[in-house]
Amino acid sequence: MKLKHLQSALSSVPTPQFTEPNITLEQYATSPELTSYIIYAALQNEDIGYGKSVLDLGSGTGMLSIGSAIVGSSSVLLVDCDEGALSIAKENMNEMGLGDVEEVEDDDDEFCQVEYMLAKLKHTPRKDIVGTGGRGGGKGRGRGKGRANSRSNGGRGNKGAPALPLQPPQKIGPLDDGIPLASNCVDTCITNPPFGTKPGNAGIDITFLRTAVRLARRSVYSFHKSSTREYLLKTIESWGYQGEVVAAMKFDIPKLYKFHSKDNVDVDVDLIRVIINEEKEGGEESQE
Amino acid sequence: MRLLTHNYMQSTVKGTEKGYPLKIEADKVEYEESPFDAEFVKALIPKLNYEILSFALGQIVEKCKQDIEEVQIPELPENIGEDLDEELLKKLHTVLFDLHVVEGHLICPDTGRRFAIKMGIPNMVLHADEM
Repeated sequence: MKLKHLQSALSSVPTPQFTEPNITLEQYATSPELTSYIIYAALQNEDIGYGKSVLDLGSGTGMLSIGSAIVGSSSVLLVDCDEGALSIAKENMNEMGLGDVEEVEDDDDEFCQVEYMLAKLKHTPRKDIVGTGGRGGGKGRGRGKGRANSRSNGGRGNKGAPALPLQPPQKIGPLDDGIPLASNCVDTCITNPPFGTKPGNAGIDITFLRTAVRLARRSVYSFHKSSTREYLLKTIESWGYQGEVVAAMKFDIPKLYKFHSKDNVDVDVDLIRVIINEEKEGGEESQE
Repeated sequence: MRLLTHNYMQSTVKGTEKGYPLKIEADKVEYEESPFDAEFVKALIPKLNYEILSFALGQIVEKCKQDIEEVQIPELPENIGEDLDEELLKKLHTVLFDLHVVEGHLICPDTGRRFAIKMGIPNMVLHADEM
């Protein structure tokens, strides 16, 4: 499938997606454009598509799941803590005819087994993360905090050492994060996490990423503010994995909330990929 | 909720030691035939906990026999080896994908915490004091 075909298919997902977005959950619908990039990249790396199981952590209204299903992933599990969002996601999926056995015309059609689950990540706000905390969105502010962040890292000691030594994911007990799923239970985990811009949410994107890394056996795709890039890549390294910036782009956050003064807020975001295990299908994959 | 999903699930409520397999109380089950893909099922088997799958089927089989008329509810062998014939793969496909627990509860084996399943969606969200 070509990128533009994917984009146009995703553009037909019904909008508006959130009628009453929940501010503390930082709910923004992922745009078709952004979705098409993540899906296209993952498809080229053979992380999603036929034969692959995908988990969408914090699925919201399901854009990333819809993208994963459109390109023929064999199963998609949507996990979100908000019942309203999950039911919109379900409607959107149905509207698109995804995961619907009625839409299957012949045996050769790729079918996606779609499943939904309500679960909430356990997040302890991180006071030590200056970079992602704050009261509002906006890119200027985000950048400033990014700098403050790297300063505080420097003050911590060794240069190049991870800012916060976190336990490698193998040691993250599955009972620790509130997500009721076994480690390495899917091939690929994709997530568009809250960026942690609301009070009490500081560092929540990293909490999402860490759980995504725990759940995937192959690859993780996630969006993060570009201003936190350096810190993020070091954190991933401290978990024992390699992270790479697949693309840098603008996240166009529409004015959904009163505290947004401008119509739209452009935030610089990175699409990050964490490689868990690149073995081709049929090879030995690590099973925890 | 499919039994495939149940296979990976575990309770994370405070006080849980192992948290799986979750017991299933099925109030309503449905059958929906999905396209059978032998290769996908075959690739899935090594990633499953077969014991939990048998357990899960055992939990819902009576309800399935009551509610589902379209198909005969498959019986799974006690163990499965490397060589899986088409017939067994089809049975596994049915059990993993086509039986849906639509209404009911999942129960944490350690704490007894009950998680409701509504319209096929398990609600595993914990209250703050349960985490």
